[in-house]
Amino acid sequence: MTYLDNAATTPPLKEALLSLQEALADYYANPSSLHQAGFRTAALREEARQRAADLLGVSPGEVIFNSGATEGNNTVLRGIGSLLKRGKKIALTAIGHASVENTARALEREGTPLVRLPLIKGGLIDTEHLEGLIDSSCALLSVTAVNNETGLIQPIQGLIRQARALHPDILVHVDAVQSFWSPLWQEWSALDWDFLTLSAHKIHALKGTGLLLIRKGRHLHPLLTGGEQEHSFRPGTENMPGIIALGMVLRQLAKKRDSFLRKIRHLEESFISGIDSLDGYILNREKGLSYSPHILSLAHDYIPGAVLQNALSEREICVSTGSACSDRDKKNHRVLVNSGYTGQQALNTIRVSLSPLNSEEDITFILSALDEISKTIGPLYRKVR
Amino acid sequence: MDYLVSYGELALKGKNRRFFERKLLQSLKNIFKREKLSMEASFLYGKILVKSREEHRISEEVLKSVFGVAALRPVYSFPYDYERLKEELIPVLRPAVEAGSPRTFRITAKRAFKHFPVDSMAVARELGRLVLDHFPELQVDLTRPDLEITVDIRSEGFFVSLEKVKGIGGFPEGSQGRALLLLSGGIDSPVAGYLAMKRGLTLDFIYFHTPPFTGEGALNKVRSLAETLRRRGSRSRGNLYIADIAGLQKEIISQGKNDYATLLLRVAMLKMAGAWARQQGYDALVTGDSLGQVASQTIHSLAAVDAVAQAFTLRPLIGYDKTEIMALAESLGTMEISNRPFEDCCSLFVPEHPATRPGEAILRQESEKLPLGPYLETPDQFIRAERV
Repeated sequence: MTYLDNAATTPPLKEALLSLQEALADYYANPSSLHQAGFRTAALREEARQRAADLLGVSPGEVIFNSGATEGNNTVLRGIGSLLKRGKKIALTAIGHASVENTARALEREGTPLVRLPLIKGGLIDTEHLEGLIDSSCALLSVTAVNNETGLIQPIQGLIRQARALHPDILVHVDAVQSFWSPLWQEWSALDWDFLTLSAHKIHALKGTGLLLIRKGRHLHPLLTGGEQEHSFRPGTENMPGIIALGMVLRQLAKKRDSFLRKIRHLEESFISGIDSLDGYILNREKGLSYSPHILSLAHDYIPGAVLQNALSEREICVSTGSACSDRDKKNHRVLVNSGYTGQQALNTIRVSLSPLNSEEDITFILSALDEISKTIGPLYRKVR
Repeated sequence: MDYLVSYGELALKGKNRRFFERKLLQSLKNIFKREKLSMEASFLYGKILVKSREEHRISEEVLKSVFGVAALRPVYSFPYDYERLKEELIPVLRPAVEAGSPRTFRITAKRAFKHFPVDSMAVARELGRLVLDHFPELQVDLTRPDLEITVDIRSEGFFVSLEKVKGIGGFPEGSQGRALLLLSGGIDSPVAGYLAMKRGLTLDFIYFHTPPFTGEGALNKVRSLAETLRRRGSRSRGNLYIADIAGLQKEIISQGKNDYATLLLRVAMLKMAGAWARQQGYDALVTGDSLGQVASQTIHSLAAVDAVAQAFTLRPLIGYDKTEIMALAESLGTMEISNRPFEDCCSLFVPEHPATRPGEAILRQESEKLPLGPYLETPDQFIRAERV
């Protein structure tokens, strides 16, 4: 099997998790318990928190463990919402992840106005034209750092600077889920965000674990009420398996990120030059914009993405489509269409996403499969166009 | 609680009656076993007696949904001892009378066992008097009583019931034969299958797979639909045949845009399903066609396709409106499955101006150009069976 759907989820980093089973058997106590066993588990949790904080250049007190980025994004948008004065707005793009988009729409139905930021072709936020959109009536700016479908990197630094120039007190939320392999990752400590959301299973740890970073002095209303875990901010007995695993994976990633990143960049280069030499395919990347190396969105001239996906799946190659074929599923084209691509191109798009666990052979294999599919099925679709 | 199950329409069937009864009894027993229900069914002249140790709500839900069950009555069973019945009737009635606080009642006695010495009118009078003695607030109303107490007199005993619950009706599964349902993954075909089952057909399923135009997602939908439908009946397992006709699909597309493309594909599917049905001993095909719904379902299209395909096809939805079909799909629980998003990339091949008054001769001519031979002569080469 050739797994090239790492933006959906990544395989757990095996070598980091060798001792997980043992740790789970030993550290079973409730970390809130006031006895030796509880303290030991709590210490392990704090170790993981410290690692996350170190890797992101924040203080451990700013790190909250939760169930993932969907929860994180909901917590920020809804947690702000209940603190908002009526009529205060949320500024965001129309190409965010569903957990941002659909939460924002729900808040809109409840009376919070939304401000949509202007985008240029490719989905880049047009930071030159934020005047009149961001002002003192905007309480929150929510932005996705790296687009999960196209891999586009937003100019976060310029955006935040511009937003704060227009409204110094605006709160800034960054959905940083896909940012690990982008240059932004090393800038998070220096950038002036207020809330940052991350997911563990996108960086080779386990599903069901996430991180919500809240800058010191910022407040959110928690989604849940209950015990005093995570400073009462995220009640409920901690997901220790997920937290311990994340700690283990982060230790490895801290050591290996540079070499892993080199590998991904190398695979990216091979893929791009391979695609350039194939007939019928075009990368959904725009000149002058920056992309994370691990996400490659491409479209065929004629073949629908879902058909490409099926045909690849038959060859045991796993990729995603952001979109579906039938007309009634047009909403699935939201991100690509709002990024300025035609409906046809959105329909014909697949997403290939890489991890350092992929190999050069994976790239060769998918390229030859794509070539074959284009040659065998392409003519059928050209006929009916 | 015990239940007396009656099967209405079935009982009219003269000499075949024993056959239908047996099928119904078998259906009930199969379902009890499959669902691990602590229930037992046995014949009682003209009825089926079900003894259940399950909650009343569950027993009733199960029984009324079995194909062939016209009605059922929850009954209190008493041994064949009239004096004892008179002693024990009142304590049994008390909770019902107290809970429903009826003001009027009647007793309906039915003497299925003609050797019982007291005639039914006399039984009704006698028991009615008894009820009046114990519940002085009640009055007799023979025409529109709040509470009707039915007493079934049989050699096996007395069966007293206070209500009648309507069953789903139809015929017992399998009593009319076996059919093959063409499942597409859409909303209509499962509903058509259900109606066919209700009329006594045992169903298996065939799905035409066209990878890579349709993917695993569509196939999974069909698997869920087939299983949901199969569970409506009494069987523990059914057959889903997956017919790979990607080769044919490609052939049809590569002939270019063709107003007959959809009809040709339908001819191919019906011919192949028909060949498979004959080989496997099915009596008919069932499809979800509803008259006039789309171009391929106009009366002319259906007639031309049928004439060319030569496969006996039932279309139970022919007279149903889309809204009626959707309401049924909702109640069957198939709507949610049919609505799951999946990639239907065949829709791209649908002709822009599909023929609505196709010529049979042209359709026949076009279909003869298709390389159908191997699909009809050795369908097993293209079909794999799954248990669902």
